Amino acid sequence: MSKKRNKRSARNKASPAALPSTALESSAREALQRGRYRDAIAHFKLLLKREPQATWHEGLAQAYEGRARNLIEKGMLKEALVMWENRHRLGDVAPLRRDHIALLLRLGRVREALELFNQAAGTLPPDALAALRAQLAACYLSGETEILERLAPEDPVVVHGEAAQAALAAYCSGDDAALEQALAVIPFRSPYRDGVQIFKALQHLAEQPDQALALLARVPAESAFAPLHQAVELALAPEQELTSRLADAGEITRRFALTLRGWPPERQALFDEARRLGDEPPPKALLQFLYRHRGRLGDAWVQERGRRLLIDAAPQSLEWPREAGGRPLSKAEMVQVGAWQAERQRGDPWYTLQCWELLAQHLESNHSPAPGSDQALRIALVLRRFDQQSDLLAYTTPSPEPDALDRAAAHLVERSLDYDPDAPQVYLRLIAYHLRGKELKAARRLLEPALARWPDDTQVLTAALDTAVAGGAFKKAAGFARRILALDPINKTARERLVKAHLAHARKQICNARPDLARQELERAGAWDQHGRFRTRRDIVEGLTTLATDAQAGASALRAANQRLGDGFTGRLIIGLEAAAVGRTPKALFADLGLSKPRTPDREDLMACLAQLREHLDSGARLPPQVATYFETALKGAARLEFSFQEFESACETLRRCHWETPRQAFAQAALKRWKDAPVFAWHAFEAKYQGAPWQASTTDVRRLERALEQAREQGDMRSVQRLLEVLEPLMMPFEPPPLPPGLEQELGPDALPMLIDLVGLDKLLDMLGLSREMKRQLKEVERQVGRQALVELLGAMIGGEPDALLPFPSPEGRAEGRRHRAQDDRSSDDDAPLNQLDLFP
Amino acid sequence: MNDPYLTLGVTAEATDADIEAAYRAGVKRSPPERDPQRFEALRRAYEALRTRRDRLAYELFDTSPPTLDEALDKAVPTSAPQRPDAAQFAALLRGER
Repeated sequence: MSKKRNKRSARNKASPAALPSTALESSAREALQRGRYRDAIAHFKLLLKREPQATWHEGLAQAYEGRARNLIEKGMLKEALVMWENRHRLGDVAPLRRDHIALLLRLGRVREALELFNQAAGTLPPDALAALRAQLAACYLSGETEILERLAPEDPVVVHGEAAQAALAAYCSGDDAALEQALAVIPFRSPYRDGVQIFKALQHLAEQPDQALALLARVPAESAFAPLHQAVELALAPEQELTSRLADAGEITRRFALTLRGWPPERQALFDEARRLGDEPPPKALLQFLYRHRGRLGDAWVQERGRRLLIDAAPQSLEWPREAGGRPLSKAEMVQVGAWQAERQRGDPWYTLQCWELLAQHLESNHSPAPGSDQALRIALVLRRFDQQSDLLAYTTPSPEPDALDRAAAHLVERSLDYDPDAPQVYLRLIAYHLRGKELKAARRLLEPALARWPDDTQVLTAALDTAVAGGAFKKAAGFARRILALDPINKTARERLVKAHLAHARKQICNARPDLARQELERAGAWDQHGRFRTRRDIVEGLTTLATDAQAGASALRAANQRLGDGFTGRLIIGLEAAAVGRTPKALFADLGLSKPRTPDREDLMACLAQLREHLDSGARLPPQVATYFETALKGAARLEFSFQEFESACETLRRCHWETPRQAFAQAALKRWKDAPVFAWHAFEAKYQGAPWQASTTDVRRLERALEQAREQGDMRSVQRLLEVLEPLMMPFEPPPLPPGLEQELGPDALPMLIDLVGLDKLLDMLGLSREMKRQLKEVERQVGRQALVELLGAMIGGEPDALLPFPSPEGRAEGRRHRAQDDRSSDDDAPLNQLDLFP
Repeated sequence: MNDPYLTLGVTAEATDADIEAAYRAGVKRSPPERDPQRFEALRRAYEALRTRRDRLAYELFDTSPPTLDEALDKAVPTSAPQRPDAAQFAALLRGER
């Protein structure tokens, strides 16, 4: 369409030759003004054929000049020279331009350039002459010796030429003294000035690169020495920029720069080949490149490093080394690639654990490793890898199920000690893990060899103290504490642990109705609490002990303790926690003491309360429900107070740790009023509100969460992004079953259908059953017409009364069976067979 | 991470002492105030290879793929800086790139 229009408009336009001279002249001038130099040239030529007017000659000269410059910009140097030459032929109306001579020099037509230069020397402006002289100087140094013969002897190009040439020769031959001497002769206003700066920069290149760069900065970008300047600058490029900058540089510049950087020609050739693979070569291409040059790189290096290129595309990529001409991967190497892939994909942790275990089995079977050998250490490291990466044993309490993931990880870590027993941190990690689960037998089993190996290690002794305390062996614990204090007299930890242990034991004795024994424990606690850090706690426990025998004295002691604690919310909370620990509810205790319900804490009191809660949780204890109930109302009221963003966040995090969801929700909601959609509070509010049942969330709340996710992403708040995704992702998955309330899993079957419909809704249940849209429509119709009971019966019949037929809910037995199978140490099974290795890649 | 053996200029058979010596020599050549990036690379390489345990862990668990730069360094290491010859100067002074 547009082509047609253009053709039509071209036909309608009158031919320039048919125009009268005035119209043609104005058309020529318009073309000149608009930069349409070809038209301007044609029009002025037509005009000059009619009448040789001086102004038209000038116009033509301008048009030639403009066209020449355009062509130079396009890199059409020869065509540009033709324009300059046409212009030059116009005679006096077109005085010589510097660019015409410069172009001749660029094209290597030195003799012609010199002729024009000599002609124009008297007419060109001084700056144009200086620039041309600099270009002639660069040209002379490039080997055009006739320049000196054809220029006037007093021309600075000639006068300083010899010294500049000497400097170049001296630099190339490595004679720095001669170079200095030659450069000293060349004055600042010489046409060789830029060259001098570059030679000086070259002298500083290796030792003082900053100074070299400063010298190069004095050379203007349009200098005649610019190509040399760029090459030297490239040689100074930082390592991490070098590859991309080399890719942009021309061949000659690159070779010059790389020679300066000490790249031998073979390396440069290899770089050229590598560059052809692209900026980010695909792993397979890179692997082939490595194998092509394995003669230089070394077989071992290529195999070892090349294996890292197989990770993402395994198992298909396992064949690449063989295809590239290398040896096929061994079984262990294949398994290693599989384990790397599993770890990188962060998928099923069981699968990752199995991969590392399998690799350990291969390493075990290939050699029988001598203790302390590299192979033994390799096996130990592989066995510890899963725990090291997941940090599972650092915080997990041992699961009661023997086939749980943490159990499997702990088993592997403990096995690793057979190969590498010289690892105290591994012993300590395992002991702490078992102590968290009160597994004293297992802890002692590990402690014994650790104590035998490192009898004077305070960390091992502390673990021994903890084990003794956990077992109620306080004498033994005191013995370990003394050993620790003998090694480290200012060790506070040992004392504090003992005080806490005696206090815990005192509480236990109160529960056992043995106040006499409780007092003994309190005395022992007092003996170790030299600085009185636990004075208040001891007073409260003592008050509770006395309360058992002398209600009045006990109550008085506890009231006094409350006064010392400021009679505020925090003080009451501390007493309440101690009361709960001896089996008394705070409500009953405070009633006995005649103390009113706690007031809503002020800002300071709340901060102190949160600190107390954190300390309580850090000791491994939980918030007793009776304490939570008693203090909840007062604490919730504190959410109305003024807090900073960080204080609100800290409050929410602490309450989350306590599983104290009502006040947590209140604090999060209060914060959301001030910071609308703040991701961290949106997440706290949602989690506190739905308490592990996100599928019950209203659409409004889910949308609010989605907005918070967007905001978290914008703010780069990755922790909130992660947390919000964890909540939102299950809600997005159409067939993901919601977790069932404890005990309900056992009841899955047709009988559980009404409960499931109530729990997740009919729509979701039908989705989970994977029914077609039509089927779902029909079932809903059944419900509408015949009622819920009929629908339940129909669904029951459809799933055939088999609990496992409800596919999204695998039976717990089945799941456990699967894990047992995966966790099995089946060293002798056929899983080691080569083909079975590929099973690592689902 | 780049191959720490190449960064330190040691072989796979290097001992703890060799590695420490290579690190110290590298730091002497590229102190942090002069070349912080190189120093950081040296430090990371040293951390990765300091003990036998570290070296085996690197061999077993480092999954960073080799780069072309590493391959170049391994195949033909850079030598001391060279001076280009007159012909290379001439080409650039003629305006060739």
